Amino acid sequence: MIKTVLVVDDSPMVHKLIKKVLDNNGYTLCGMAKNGKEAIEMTEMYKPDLIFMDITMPVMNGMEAVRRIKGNHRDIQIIMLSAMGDKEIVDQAKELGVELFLQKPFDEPKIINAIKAAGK
Amino acid sequence: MTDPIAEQELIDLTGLLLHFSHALKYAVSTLTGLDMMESPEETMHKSVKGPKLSGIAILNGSMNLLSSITMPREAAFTFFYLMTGINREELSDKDLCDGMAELVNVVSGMAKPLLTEFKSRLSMTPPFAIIGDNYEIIHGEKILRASREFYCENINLRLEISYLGGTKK
Repeated sequence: MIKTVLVVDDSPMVHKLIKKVLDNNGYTLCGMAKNGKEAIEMTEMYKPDLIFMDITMPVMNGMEAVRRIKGNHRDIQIIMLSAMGDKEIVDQAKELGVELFLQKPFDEPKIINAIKAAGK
Repeated sequence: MTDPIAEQELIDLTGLLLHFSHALKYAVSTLTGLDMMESPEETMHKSVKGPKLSGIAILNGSMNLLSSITMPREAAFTFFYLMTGINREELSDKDLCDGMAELVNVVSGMAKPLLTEFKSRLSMTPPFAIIGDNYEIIHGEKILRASREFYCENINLRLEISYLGGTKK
């Protein structure tokens, strides 16, 4: 069951949007990372049940972060976030073991439905 | 990159703008619940004299497009309040710029796969934002541009794309 969530996106506005949804629905936001490197560090620190991971970010992109996180923590659920719904990106994410791919924009029902689907 | 003028006749910029318009309306509806209506004529340029901000992204590959979304600063406070629930007192200009960059990123990202006329892959630069009073985004006269303006309640915005050349095939 999903309880703790880590949000990884270089946009603070996306952090705020997802935080509002998590707060409204009883999930615990355990961290907000701005790039893949911070995501790996926070994953080791907080061991979240689920990670929302953007793809295009500075320092380290989401794909590389997923590759490293899934290498050590197969049980952590990851939902990729992206403004780009290109099929090849979605396929690449799935190959890395990503549970779900959520195309931006998203609203509260879309986010909650994705969390519930990832938790099954 | 080919001469934009040589490509002009081959580019249906209005058709391309339609994809961006659909993406914009969908994105705004999803993010804020607002149902944006298209303005009957370009009014924002005339009515907005004060502070405003623009989110900008560039698509490049077989064609190079610059897309921008411009909104009055006051409207942006309302827009991002609706999007995040955060009051204007807690929103800085940096937050607004980040939000505008994210908005144009989402809209351009959605429109990109719809540009099927251009078979080869397009990539997108990280978005950025401009904020200030009465600035304009100026291109040379040879650059093709198309724009639409939208409104809903007290929010108005301008969507514009500029064709910067490319190799269509």
